Amino acid sequence: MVMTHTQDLSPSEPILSSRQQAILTHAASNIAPSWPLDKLIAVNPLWSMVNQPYDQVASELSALANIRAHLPLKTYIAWYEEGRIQLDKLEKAAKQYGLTLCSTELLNHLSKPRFQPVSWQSIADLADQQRPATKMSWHDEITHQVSQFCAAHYQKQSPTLRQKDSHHEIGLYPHWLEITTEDRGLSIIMGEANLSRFFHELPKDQNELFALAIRELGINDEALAAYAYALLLDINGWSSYLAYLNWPSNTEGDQQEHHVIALLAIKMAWELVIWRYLNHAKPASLSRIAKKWTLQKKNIESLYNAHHDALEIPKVWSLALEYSEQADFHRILREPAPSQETFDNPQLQAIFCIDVRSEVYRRALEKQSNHIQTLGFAGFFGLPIEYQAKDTQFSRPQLPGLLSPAITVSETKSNTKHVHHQQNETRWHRWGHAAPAAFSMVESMGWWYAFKMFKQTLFPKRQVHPANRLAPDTQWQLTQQGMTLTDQDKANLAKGILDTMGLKHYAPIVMLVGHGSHTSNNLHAAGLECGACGGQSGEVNVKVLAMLLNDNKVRTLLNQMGANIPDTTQFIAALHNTTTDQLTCFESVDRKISDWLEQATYLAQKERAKKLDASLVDLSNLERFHAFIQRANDWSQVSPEWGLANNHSFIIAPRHKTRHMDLKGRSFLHDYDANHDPDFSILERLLTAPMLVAHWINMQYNLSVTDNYKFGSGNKVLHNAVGGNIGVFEGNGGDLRIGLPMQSISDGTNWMHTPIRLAVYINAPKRAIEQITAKHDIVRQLIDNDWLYLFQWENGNNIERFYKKEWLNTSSDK
Amino acid sequence: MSLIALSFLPICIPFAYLLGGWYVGRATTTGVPTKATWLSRGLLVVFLMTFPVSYFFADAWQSSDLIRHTSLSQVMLGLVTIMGWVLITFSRHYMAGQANSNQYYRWMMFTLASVAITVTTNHLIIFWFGWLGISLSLHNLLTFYPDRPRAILAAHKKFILARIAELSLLVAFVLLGLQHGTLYISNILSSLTIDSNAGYHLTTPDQIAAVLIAFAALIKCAQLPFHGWLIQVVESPTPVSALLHAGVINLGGYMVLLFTPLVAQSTAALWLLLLVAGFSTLASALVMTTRISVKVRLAWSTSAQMGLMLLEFALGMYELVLLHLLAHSFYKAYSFLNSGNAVNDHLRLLLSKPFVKGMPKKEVPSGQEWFSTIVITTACVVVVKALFDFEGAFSTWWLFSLALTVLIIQWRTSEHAPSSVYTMIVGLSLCVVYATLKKLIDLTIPISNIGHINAFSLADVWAMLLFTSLFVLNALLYYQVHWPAVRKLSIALFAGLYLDEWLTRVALKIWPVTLPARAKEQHISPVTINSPAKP
Repeated sequence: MVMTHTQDLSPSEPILSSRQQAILTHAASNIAPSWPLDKLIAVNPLWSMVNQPYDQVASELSALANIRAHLPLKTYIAWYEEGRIQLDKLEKAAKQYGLTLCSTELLNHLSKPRFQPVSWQSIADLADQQRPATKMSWHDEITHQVSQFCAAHYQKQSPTLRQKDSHHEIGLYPHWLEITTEDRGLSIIMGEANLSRFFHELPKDQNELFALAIRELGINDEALAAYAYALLLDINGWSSYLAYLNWPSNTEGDQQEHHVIALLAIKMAWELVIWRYLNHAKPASLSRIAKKWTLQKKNIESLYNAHHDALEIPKVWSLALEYSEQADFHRILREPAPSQETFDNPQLQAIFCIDVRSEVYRRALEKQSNHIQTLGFAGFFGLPIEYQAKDTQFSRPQLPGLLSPAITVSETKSNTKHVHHQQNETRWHRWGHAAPAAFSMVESMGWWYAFKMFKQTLFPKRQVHPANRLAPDTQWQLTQQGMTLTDQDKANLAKGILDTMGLKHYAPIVMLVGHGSHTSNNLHAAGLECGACGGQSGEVNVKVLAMLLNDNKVRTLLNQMGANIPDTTQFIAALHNTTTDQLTCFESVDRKISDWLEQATYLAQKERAKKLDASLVDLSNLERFHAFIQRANDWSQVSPEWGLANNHSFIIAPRHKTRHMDLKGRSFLHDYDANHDPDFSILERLLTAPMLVAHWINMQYNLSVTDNYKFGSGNKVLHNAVGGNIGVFEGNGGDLRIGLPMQSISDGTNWMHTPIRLAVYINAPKRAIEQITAKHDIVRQLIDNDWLYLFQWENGNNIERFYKKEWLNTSSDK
Repeated sequence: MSLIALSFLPICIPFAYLLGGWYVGRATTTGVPTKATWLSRGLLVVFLMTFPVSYFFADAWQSSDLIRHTSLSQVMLGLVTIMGWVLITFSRHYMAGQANSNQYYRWMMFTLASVAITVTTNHLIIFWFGWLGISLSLHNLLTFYPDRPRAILAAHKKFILARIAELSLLVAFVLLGLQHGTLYISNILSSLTIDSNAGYHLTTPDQIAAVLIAFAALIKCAQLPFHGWLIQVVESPTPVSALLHAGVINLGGYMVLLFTPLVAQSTAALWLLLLVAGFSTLASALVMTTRISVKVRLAWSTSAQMGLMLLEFALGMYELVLLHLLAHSFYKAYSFLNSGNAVNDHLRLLLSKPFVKGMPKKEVPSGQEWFSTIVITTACVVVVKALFDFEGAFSTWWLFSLALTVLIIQWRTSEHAPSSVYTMIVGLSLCVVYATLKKLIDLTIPISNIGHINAFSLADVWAMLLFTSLFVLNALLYYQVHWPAVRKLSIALFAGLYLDEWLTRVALKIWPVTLPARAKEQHISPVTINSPAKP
């Protein structure tokens, strides 16, 4: 992008060089997207950094924004004392980092807290150091102002100034400048007169602003890279939301404006304003700041080094924790399977999502009979769809965030009564929120809220998602770019899915089990839904796939293509409720199967109760069942379920290899049989899609635990929804908060998630893994840059780690 | 005898909460949430059992001069008891896992106890101490997370304002006590009523006391420019916000109602209310529409609603004040507790958008449409008013007809508009419901006959002017936001009219507070709320 107004400028005006432009763009691209609340899916907040080694990224983040990717030292030590970290693993990890000490010395060395070096300081931070504690801090006020402004700019609930007229929208930076120039409140609250003059003098064009700031603050290219990234990390919540607006698969918001760079411009404009203001009002203070500033710019290299050194101890501990957990897990994996009956002719096949929560229910279901076979598959069932509610503008993707929907599904008939009910509610809502009407609404209808409140207190009932089940019994219409899919298209789609699923024999009943969660009054509800379905319930996906597979014409075409589905086989869509472990079938099933499902629910609930609420363990099945339903409906329940907490592994193998194991709901399970995948194309798909999703989830949990302030959303009892669906503030303001709330990862005394990097176990030949890794940069980067561990889990139960093109034996970890 | 014994039951509610608060706040008490829930349930049962008796035999059982047995007090006590039950039950799961939750329950109960004492006492000194107890115990709830700078700043402002309000109240009570030679509220009120009926005017000390009470009520109700703390205390747990907005802030309204024979006779006090509360109603309602987060929006709405409540008092619509007080409490408590459903509201809005994709067309209703709608709604309101035989100020009816106009215009221009007949029926029913409720309160909870204002008097016209401006400005902000003047207004509203900024600065100047570590420093050495100390 070259500046368009060059001719208007006087020769002395600085111009942003293309090199500088590239540095700024690169800094902006470092930020990973964060999805809005209604489509909340797990993301690795460092996704854009996986091309660098994990440890290096951890040091960089620590240096630039004091972000922690490890637990505090005292937690590791406590876990060591509890025996969760073993001494030999600690020694092994220490050796990895070049520490060779005898065990007592090592323990001593690793137990001493290190001095925490300061991180990068912006002009605002440096100015704050000179400010008395009774004055508002620059940094906090900037965060507050920028955050409130961004929310007003991007919210779509009421008309904003962003819309200049019906055809013209202003960009983020010019809009901010306009509002801020007018805002006299900033001067007042900061107690600094004439501040607004300095906003007046800022250039209207953001590139001019960058050029000006770079010149006046004397930033060279190396410093610019660090500075720009640090400024964005400082307001990480909004940076991440804006990165979402620019994310390729996102269909809302306009993609043309580069939102993150505009935010960077705002942050830099503030820096320039403080610099100029202090220069004008408090020259002595500025010269002290300038001295520190120059020193800091000169010493970026040593800043990184200092943080790198300071992280040595937590890095060793964290690695030792991973080694310890993996060694325990390998012991389980190496257990020989008990000789068991073969399940060649199952009566029921149930295909679940790979989600770790499925494992508990699957194990419970398999216990009911040897004639039940369960499989793991990505929860969107391979359908690249978006759901478009009939007769409305409402649509949402039903697939992983990495992919873009290709097919639109809609109901063939809509339930007008339900839609009218929602529209009616909206009309009342809108009336009650209009300034002149709110008073009369309270005086005439306020008493109605007393009833609602008593009802929720005495007989809680959850508010269902307004767009789910618009039409409970309907057929689905599939369209691609406005064209209805032909039977052949449908058959092709279904064939691809069946091949990936790897089903060779079909039971009379094949259940396609999606999952969803039932929670009440929960801003982060979508985060507990099926992540593979874009943070939605998987209901639409399983219903659509079951319809395709039960369709006679499609079935005929499929069998011509070699699918061999017996005529007697029926596909049944079902939904696993992860909060209550109920399984609902959308078609009637016979008594025997429904008994199995019910018993499995009881068993799964019993297991789940141990962690959820110990008082439920001793209840009878039925009492516990009702207690679970009550939890799901309770509008005051902040930890309705533990979601995917404590996930630690992803197993790509046939289920019979793990069927006898208790994996404690910590493993993602995807069925895979290398014998049916001669060219390894299925494995390639698994390593480039489900594995990335599992990695995103794992990293989201890890980082929400290690740095909840930057990558987690804090305390739920303070949450305050912003702009309807954009995100939450913790309390009154501050940065937008992303990631998981505390109540999802901690019960108040213990972490419910152990932050360790994902371990992937693959039951496939080594050369297959080597080939795929060589072919896909992203897979190689994840493995070789230590973002996850990848193991081959051989048929003989030998486990070898693949790392930097080499195979490392793990059998010594006994 | 048994009636006398029974008459002491309501005061066992504040005492039970006091004792309970002391008990649950001890570090050694276990199972606090469950015990607290049982206590709140028990007290609700006590109240429900005694209420019918105390309501119908209010005069017969004046057991002690210290207790006020009017229906107004009983209704307020009921409100506190119900809120206590709902909020403590809600907290049971909501606050699970929070560090220091024993202290949370303690101060919650102390706040409830203080409110209950304030609304049931007949003695000025006890009233004052109750009032003091409310703000002191609330202060502990607002600073429940002492590491949040904005919470501390807000609580600090509240602390200063509360002391000012208490001081004015103390001076007012001393004046009243000296003037009337008694500290019993009932005696003071009856002597004022007798004087008023005899045609005497207020004495100067009484005048001053009236103005001071009105002033204290304005501060308590977070009227502009004393509103900032109310907006910023969404920094405390949701049930605390609900308690504050539903059970504490409206005490300003209760106090002016209680002292009606005094305040309603003072023109100065009434005009203080008319001006400050009137301006607050207008400004806060407009600022509310520019807020982007659900809880802050609710907080601004409270400031506006309380403004209207005080305005209604100044207009002599006492039954409306009480109706507003009660209805608003339930509405606001529910809205706060239910704020976790904000995403669903958003989705519903999306579902209701027109099917046609592309530029959302915003139809600007024509002048003729506006005019004809206003004529229809005004006619409708006038008819209902006449049918129900209401006297007094017209402005509140005018506000209702403007609200109905908004309803009709909104529904008619909405994409899935219901039929006009249906819209008209809904509008008319709302009006009838409103009139019925007003009548009902008027008949069941008599407040005072003093100070009723005639329709189209100066105060009434002033209020009508305010409501009309609110209506016009809101329409401009919605439909014509790109006009330069409207743009300027919108920017000023978004900035909250800078009023709180001034107050903050003044507060920090006269009484500086050292704020807890700034966000950045906290991140470096976190004092996280419920982060496991030693997992």
